[in-house]
Amino acid sequence: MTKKLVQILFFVFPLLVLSNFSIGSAEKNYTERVFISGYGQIIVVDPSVPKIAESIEVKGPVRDMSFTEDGKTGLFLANDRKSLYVVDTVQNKIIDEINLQARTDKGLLDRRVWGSTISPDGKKAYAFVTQGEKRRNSFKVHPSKILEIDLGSKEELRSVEAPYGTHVLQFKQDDASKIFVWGYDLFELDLKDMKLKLKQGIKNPENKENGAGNYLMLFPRGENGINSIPLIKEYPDGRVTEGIMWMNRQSGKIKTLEYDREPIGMFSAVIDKNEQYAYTTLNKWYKVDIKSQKIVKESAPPNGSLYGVNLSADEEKLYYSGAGNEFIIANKDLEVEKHLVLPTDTLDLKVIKIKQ
Amino acid sequence: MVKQKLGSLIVIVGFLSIMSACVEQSPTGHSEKKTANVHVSKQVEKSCISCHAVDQEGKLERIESVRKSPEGWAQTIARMERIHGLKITDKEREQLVVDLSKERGLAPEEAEKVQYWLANKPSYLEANPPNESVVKSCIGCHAAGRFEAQRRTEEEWKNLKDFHLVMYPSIYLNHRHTDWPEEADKAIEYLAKNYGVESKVWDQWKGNEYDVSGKWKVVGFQGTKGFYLGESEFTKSNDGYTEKKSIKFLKGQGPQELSGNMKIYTGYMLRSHYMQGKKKINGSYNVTSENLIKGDWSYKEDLGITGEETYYKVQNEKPEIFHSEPRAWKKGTTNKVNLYGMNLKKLKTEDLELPKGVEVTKLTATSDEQIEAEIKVSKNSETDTFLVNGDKVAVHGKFTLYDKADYLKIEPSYGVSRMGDAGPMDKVSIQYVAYAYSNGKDGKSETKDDLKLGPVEAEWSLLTYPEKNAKRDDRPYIGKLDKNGLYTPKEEGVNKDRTFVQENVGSATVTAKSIIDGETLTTKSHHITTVPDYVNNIH
Ligand code: HEC
Ligand code: HEC
Repeated sequence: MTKKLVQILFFVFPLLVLSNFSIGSAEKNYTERVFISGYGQIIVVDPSVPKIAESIEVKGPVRDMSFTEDGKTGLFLANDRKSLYVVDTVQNKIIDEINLQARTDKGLLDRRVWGSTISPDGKKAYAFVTQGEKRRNSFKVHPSKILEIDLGSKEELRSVEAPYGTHVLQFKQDDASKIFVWGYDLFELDLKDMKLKLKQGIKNPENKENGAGNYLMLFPRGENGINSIPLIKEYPDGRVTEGIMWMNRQSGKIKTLEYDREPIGMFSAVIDKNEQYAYTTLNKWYKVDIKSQKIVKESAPPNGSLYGVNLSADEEKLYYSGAGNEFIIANKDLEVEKHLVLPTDTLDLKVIKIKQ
Repeated sequence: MVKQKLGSLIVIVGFLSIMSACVEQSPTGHSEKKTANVHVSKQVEKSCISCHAVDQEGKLERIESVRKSPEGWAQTIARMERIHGLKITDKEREQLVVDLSKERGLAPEEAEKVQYWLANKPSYLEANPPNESVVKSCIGCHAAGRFEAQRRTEEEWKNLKDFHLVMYPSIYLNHRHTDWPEEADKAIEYLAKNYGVESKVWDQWKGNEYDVSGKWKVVGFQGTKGFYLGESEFTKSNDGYTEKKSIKFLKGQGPQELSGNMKIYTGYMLRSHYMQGKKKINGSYNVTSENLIKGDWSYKEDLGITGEETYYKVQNEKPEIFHSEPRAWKKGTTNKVNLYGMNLKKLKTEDLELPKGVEVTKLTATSDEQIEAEIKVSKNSETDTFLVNGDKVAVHGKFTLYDKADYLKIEPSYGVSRMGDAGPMDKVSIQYVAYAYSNGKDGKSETKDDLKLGPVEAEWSLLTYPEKNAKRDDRPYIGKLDKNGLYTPKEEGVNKDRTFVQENVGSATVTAKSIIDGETLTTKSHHITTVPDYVNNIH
């Protein structure tokens, strides 16, 4: 009897110590979840196993994904860009579907969302919409707008015209009165007076000699405070380079780097919060040293192109998904460690700390 | 899990004009007056008026502000069905296209420039439109032929901008190299100026119709197989014509028999459906005068197997030459030439008016259809192309005098073949053809005065792309190139033998080698095999 107890103690003790240790060191007061945009469903992955925690059914492919400060509510764009889904990320349940289609006296106002975000407190949603009026025998475009939607009443509160090319809305960190509006160039929306102003020219830079930037930010980053995206730059002398652009979401400062390689086209990029390394993906995987602007490691996704790369919540691992039906965990030397098969093909992945 | 790594490449097409001097004659069609109170036709009113009402000017909204080809109307009607809920039967659809093409079609002169698009010829290089804004904003998704085959009021051109932005709001993301709305405004301004709905040629043509009944002679060219000659007869049927055609390649076995049905649209556009054994062939032809029909055909199940043809109405009056092998005659030698046509036994040497320094030294008619000739061309004759004239003879097409074959070119210069046949999508092969060129008067290659001497036989081979230090050799997977230049792609779908690339897609370099007058000429072009044209409403 006593012998048995000793044995158990012996067995349990290190476990206790270890788990205690890990909680203590990382002050882990959150649950880490990876949200993967699938087709017809939001796939919630518990990366610690890894396993699928839940599949939340929505209409059509899932596009934008944004989350409240505490990670407990998410806003997902789906249904051919016509519906925003408000999701309780603790229970993985849909709270609301907000369809933005509207009517005019002449017909349907077909509104499609290209860039949406939930406010840090979860009270409001902001969405950039293109608007097409479908009359009896003709189509008419209306100006594109950013709408402010009250998530309680589902009503549109305010709106402001916004330029074509907009495709990402992202709150300024620690300042819920400002939204960064990414289009061909970067704009800032001040929510106090609902005014949009140009913050920085990217496609149309102030100084043309710095090169015109071209990016498609379908997969913004920034949960760690840094939004990053692969960037192609074209210079007046015809030179074309590939690199990365990133922004500190607190200061709003943009930095760029160019690596000395033939552009091959990359789809997404993630940068650690210490701004040491960047990781990019599409047909290849790059690890880029930010200081030297050099590719220090490269490899290829094991089963064909992947659109999305992200960092684990503790920034110890890399997560890849997007394109095929797979979720991959790799180490920071780009070596695959774990592989999870998903129920559908995918687009992107977000890593969220859900507060406990 | 199917991943497509290559976007569906838009095949841009261009047209090889068939060399022939066509003598325009006024058609003898009968002008049909439109019944005053009918908008286009009873069928159009029945099918369309529920959404397209009569406007203040008494026109059917939108419909009576545009003119299109039968193909253009068919695409618009298909969209009315696909997304707006128009319900019609196959017969009604057919009738709508006939009626709309008749009342709101294109004149022959307007259609000629876009024949390559109407005939849906893959792998020809379409010339860039002259307007920069059109290039920037309009040809990224479909060929320029799609809109150059339309005539619209200014308002209707403007409507296209809204139509595209509402239908494809992602346009500003995939066209972010430019400011699409702004560029499209400029493009539309240009198109409205140059492709307006009003035109003299249309006013003159509308209501006319050719009668093509009777016997015709045919000359055709199919890449990889060469020229062929044939006979054809059209007989009137209930709603068009039936045709019996027999063709024989100059080099090859024969003859081959085809039978077809065709409709005539807008009084001159023949759209044919042939059977040749079990093969289905579609033809797109235009009657360009009482005695001339020109057009293109392709296999229904492989658009890459294609040819072009000209028909000449059979007559008994005078010698008529419509093909010559070769058409390019070398200076400083006596050229052995075979002339093909009709009534050729009647032809005398003096009937042919030839340029200075060109002399027929022998003319032997082996039949009414063929002459063996010897043509001496002096060293001092002028390097150029010319037409052969004569009151007592009709000679079609241009001839060329040249010093020397200087280089080769492969057509298509950028071959896009498509995998297919495993599922519902058909494969698209490529017929590679090598053409010999002479540098022309200035002695420099790739200049305006260069002379195209005609297709030549070549030795074909496929190399990697790039030729040296290719990272991957796609050749074992993507298909095969025959010794006559025919490229056949493989089937679509995952190929487990491949690493990284999962399907039988890839690129290669095509080379042709030909020995002309003892000199070896070589050239190369780029080849890709890509995914099937899944989005085939875009072309
Ligand atoms: C159920 C309603 C409906 C019916 C029936 C309908 N249309 Fe339309 N039509 C539309 C709408 C909506 C548009 C505008 C959007 C578009 O172009 O697809 C349109 C646009 C058009 C246009 C302009 C397209 C362009 O840019 O050239 C033409 C031409 C046209 N229709 C022809 C027809 C014809 C011919 C018929 C009858 C065979 C028809 N429509 C029947 C709804 C309809
Ligand atoms: C983003 C891709 C894209 C671009 C860029 C584009 N088009 Fe199109 N266009 C389409 C597609 C797809 C269709 C076929 C619509 C259908 O019938 O389903 C089309 C159809 C058309 C039609 C046929 C409409 C009809 O009913 O007959 C015209 C004409 C046309 N486009 C003109 C233009 C012009 C002019 C421009 C430049 C200002 C342009 N397009 C740029 C995608 C594009």
